[in-house]
Amino acid sequence: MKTNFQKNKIVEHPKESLAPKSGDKKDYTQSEFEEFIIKSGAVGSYMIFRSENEEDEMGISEL
Amino acid sequence: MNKLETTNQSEIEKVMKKVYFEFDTAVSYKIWVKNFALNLENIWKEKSAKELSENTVSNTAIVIGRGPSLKNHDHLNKLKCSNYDGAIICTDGALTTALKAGITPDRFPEFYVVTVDPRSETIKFYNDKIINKYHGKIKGIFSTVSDPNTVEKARESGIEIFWFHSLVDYNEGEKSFNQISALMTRAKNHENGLPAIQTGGNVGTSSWFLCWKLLNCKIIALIGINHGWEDTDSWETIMTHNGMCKMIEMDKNSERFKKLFPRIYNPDFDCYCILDPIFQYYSAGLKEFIFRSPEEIRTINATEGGCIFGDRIKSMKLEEFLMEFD
Repeated sequence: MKTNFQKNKIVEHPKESLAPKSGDKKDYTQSEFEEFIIKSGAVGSYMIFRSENEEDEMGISEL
Repeated sequence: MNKLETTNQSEIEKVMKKVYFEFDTAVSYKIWVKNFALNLENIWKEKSAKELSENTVSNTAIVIGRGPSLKNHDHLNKLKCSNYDGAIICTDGALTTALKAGITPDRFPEFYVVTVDPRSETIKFYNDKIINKYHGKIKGIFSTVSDPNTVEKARESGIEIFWFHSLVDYNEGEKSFNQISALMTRAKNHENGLPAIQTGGNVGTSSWFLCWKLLNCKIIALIGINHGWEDTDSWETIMTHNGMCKMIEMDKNSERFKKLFPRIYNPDFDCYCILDPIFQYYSAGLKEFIFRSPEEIRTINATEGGCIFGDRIKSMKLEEFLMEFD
């Protein structure tokens, strides 16, 4: 939704990588993440829809 | 894995929910209500996206996002030159790029474009004369809270409009926006209502759901769905989500920075990808929903980059996927 084809000049990025698959390690604190989201204004138009009825999360055929 | 698979991801969801409700809900709610009110007459007159279920021919779909791998791997040209004859589902941001590359409804008759974002900026995705060349041949699948000017622009360009609800607050009961707007929709011509779709927060995930739920496709291939950044993208691009949010000064060598913007290895495509918090949120959601989909739904990631890999996702080069149609 937000990317495009505009390429930027080559930039230096760290060479090390984190594990690709998920694990149970908590990588950052909630407050670190929250601070970034609030300060950057990085709130989108939609959230992922959640419901106590998990089937609803996969869509409703007729609403 | 039934919910998001890691502590990290559930933490992201908690934060997004808190921040969203504290800082954004009032703004978003006003936009949803305004857009829905202005769309309502047309929603009553036009078709439910449910009708697409009755007319779909192919059981295979390709979702086209606008991630950088689309260009890096010349995917649109490869698709154009192939014998693929299934459905094409363009995310709105990829529509004009796809048409200009020869991915057209003349070549692929089952051709759809999807808009879920309610913001007015989406009109730019339909503001190109090339769309008029395919007057009456493109089916547009729009959320009932899409910007009305965007929908009108698409309509003027000859895109046939089909409506669905985006799930936003259905879980909050009968007074939720979802339930009230659904009742208003049912008041005329749509007595059975409209389908309501999980957006996953973005049009790429919405499109995957639409392929499965509305087009009844069993094989869904993804191209241009990176949900991440590349090493050639600047930190400014990455940290502002390509200009969508403010740049925050951070020590790029700090542990905190590395956690918020992890560079991950994609073993399926042997490449690296940099995530930001928004892409962490989106990609975790899409991967979860793919995992939770029925076994009969096969998701092929032919993006050849990005971070969508894992359980129930078959990664392959686009050429390999297209060879099945030779």
